[in-house]
Amino acid sequence: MNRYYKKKILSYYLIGLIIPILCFFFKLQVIDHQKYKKLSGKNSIRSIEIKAPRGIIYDRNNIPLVDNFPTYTLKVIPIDIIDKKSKNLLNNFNIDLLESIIGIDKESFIEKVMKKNKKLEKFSPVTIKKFIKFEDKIVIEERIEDFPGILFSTIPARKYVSRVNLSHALGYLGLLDKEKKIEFNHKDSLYRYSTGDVYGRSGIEKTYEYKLRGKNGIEYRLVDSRGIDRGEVDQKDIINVINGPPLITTIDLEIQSIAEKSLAGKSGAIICMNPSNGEILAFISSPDYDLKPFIGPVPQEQWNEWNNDSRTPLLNRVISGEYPPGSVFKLVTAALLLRENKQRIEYECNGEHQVGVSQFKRCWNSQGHGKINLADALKFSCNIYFYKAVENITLEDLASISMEFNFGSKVGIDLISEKSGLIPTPQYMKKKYEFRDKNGVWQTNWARKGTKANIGIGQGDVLSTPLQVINLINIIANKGYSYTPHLIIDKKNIQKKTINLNSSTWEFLNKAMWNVVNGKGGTGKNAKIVDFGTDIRGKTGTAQNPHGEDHSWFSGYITARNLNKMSIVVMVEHGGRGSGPASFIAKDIFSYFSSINKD
Amino acid sequence: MNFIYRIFNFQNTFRLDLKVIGPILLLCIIGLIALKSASLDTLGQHLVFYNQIRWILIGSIIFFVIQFIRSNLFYEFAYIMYLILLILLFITLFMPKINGSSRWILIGGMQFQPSEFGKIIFIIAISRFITDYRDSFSSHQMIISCAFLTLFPLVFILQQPDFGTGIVYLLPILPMLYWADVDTKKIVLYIFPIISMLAQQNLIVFYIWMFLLIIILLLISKKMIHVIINFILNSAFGLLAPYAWKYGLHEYHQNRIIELLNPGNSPLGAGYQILQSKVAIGSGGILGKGLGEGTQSYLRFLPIKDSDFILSVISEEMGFLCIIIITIIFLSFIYFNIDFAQRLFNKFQSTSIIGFCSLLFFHMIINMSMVVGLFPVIGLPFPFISYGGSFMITCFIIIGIMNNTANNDL
Repeated sequence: MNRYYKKKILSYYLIGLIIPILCFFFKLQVIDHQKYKKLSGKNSIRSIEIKAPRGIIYDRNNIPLVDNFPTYTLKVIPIDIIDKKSKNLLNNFNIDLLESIIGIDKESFIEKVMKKNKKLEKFSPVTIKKFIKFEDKIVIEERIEDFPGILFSTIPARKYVSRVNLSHALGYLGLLDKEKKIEFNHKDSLYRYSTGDVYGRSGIEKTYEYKLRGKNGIEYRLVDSRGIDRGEVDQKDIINVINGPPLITTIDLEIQSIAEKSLAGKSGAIICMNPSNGEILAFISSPDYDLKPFIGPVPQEQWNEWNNDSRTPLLNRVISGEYPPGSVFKLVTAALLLRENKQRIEYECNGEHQVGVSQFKRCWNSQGHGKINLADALKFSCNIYFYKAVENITLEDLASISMEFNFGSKVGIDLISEKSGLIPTPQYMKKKYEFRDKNGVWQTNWARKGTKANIGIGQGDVLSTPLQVINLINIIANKGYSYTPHLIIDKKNIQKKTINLNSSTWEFLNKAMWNVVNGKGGTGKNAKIVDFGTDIRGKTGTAQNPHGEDHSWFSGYITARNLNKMSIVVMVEHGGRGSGPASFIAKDIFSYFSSINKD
Repeated sequence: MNFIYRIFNFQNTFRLDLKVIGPILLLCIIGLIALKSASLDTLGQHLVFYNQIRWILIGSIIFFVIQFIRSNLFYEFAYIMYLILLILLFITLFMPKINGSSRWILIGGMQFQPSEFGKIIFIIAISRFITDYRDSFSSHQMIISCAFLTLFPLVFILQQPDFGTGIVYLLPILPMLYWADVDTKKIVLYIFPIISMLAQQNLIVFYIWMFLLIIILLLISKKMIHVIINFILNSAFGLLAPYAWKYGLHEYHQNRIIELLNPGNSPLGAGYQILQSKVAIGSGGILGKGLGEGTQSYLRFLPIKDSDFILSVISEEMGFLCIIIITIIFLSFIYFNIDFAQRLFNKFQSTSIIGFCSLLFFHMIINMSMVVGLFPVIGLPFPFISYGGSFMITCFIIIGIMNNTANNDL
């Protein structure tokens, strides 16, 4: 084969390769010319991102709590509505009518459009208003001739469909801006985020952001010069929307609803759980905020209003509210006494007790309880017994057993901003109470001032969240262990925490709590329901606080006839005695629970 | 002084060969017209247009300088340059990523893309290797050792990752081997397994290919045993490819390859670009809409229209006719150079010119296929027309070498 021959072969080869491609150009430019001509020019293809709806959130019985509904975003294309010569709005664009329909500000509208009326940006749609209702969209579309260059895109927004608020557990959404977008895409999210997407800012929406999120799609639509949609263009290049997967929570809508009603108008918190698996049945922090009236994310003014509200509706009292637990804490002190084998010692209660030189501590019953043992001291919630008993135990022991019961540290619920409360250790007390007196001598006898005695009955420096209290109840109900409280039905990430104490300790505490509710003269008798075969155990608390009247606590659990258990903590801020409002609320919820758990 | 004489030879004749320069001038002019029209009112002051003129001027100076280079120089330094190229490509892997790939070496404020100029070095090195060992190696040895020489730069380039450049390193070897009298049938035997691996994605295609394969093998092989061995080999390649894909590659690499081959899957929507490009080309018709009248091309897919999609601008504004003209100009340029290569006595120069021709040719057809949606968008520019500094200079170096050879060694 000589080179001359090879040159020929190579040349044919080149021509053979180029001809099919030229044929393709021929097909596009000559055969299909008319088709593409129609697509070009003033008509243009726009890629439209379709936002994926987030997953629907259900309660434990598959009743939807949060659904989606379509809202619309109004956009305009600057080049379509601006006169090329005068650089003003076209005369046939009826801005006044638009203003009256959706209430946009005329000046800011024109300013926004003019700002984008340059170079390339004038061809791409400018967002005018987000989250427009379907009804308003219809009105605008009926008069589309008045609004050349207008486009709508659909955005799914959250719809709170159930009769409960549940706002602190569900959480709310925010709009993703540019900086946040980068942050979100850095994490191992399944689907990319783009600006204008919504994301969870608190509650379940935040914790389970990646479980709830879907994948945005892309569609190509032919839009004519008047901005009127002429339908989809190319079916094969579209990217399909993938809806966010549904999420089933552990919330029981009925219990939640009863609990929400009972706290209406009051400040406080209720949490109901199944102690045998850590599922949260009801979660109320009152006052809460209602997201139902808002289409799309809540406007900033509303946030400011809520933030400045003196009743602090944005505070999640269940997990971020730190309160003195009051007499409920006596259960922990009692557990320590039992461990130290000091339960048999009896003390005399005559209504008051002297601590230190001049301080007197009083029992709530000024008559005194007489000679009293631990079981009765719990039943009647006698303070004097515990003041005296605490003198025989060290603060180290009390602090360490409290911490074993998860006081002073986070319980680990699947929500953000949980607080850890406070358990005063000797180091803490030293730091806080030791001081130099006038003569420059260190005063170290903080214990003599009755601070330790206060801690023993859950007052003074002790702070706890309602979540920690219900965790205590769960441990007692399970006789020695508890599960991480959680809000969605998912077995992963649930840990079992065990406390090693004698089984007799648990029996004793359970019996004492039974007596509190069912015994004659027990402080929790208002929570008792008359239903044969149903056992209720509990402990009341009346927590003194510097802000006003006492906080009313009731914590306990019910064992229904079919042996299902539900633990509950009710805390009413400034509600007075624990045997009062909190117990009545607990009773309502108990009676519903026993009615659905007959057999 | 000695050093300068090693590189330059001032006795070289300087003559512009119209067969080399003429078509290039026409292409550059068409490119500039398209850029002028496309950059109109998009980037304000025709920045792209003036930059392109600057690059063409720099290219011309380099072209002029190359005319006085001693023509044996490329042969002598081929291997050394190849090694330097490998080192530079290796360095790029440690450079910060720009737009998701680390193709550039950054020194001070300067950017330098070794794989771009490496195209020339690579072809020169392969040409020297082929001419050096053509007589002592058998066809099989030749093909395998060339494959090895390609492998080293290719691995670095794919690691950057730069799929487009990788392809244009690979493809020109085939015509060069063919030109150097390596047995065509044997070259073909090495390509078949690759086709088998690609064909296995669709069962029917795979059956048809296997059927064709048997016929071709029967036609080109003398011994039956060769036919059988080759057939088994090809079937094995086809059948084992999915397993090799599944178990041989990390998920990370799989994703990267999928991403490279299907840019349309990206949420940024390369499918949208292709669609817009097709609309622009289709709406141009036979004669085009006229210069500056393109409504489509300059609106939407701006970021790369100056480089990779310049052809859609041309199609829209100057029509199918201009595409035909560009093709004819380009093919005639390639033909003239193959003609030189045929007449050259020096085997090294002849082979390297074939390499350069095919390099430019593959750039051209891949770019053309890209804009009409026949090929994934892998970012290969159209020679002499697309906007872009390094590639323009690479092209000018290539024609410089061609012109030098045509003047002094023909």
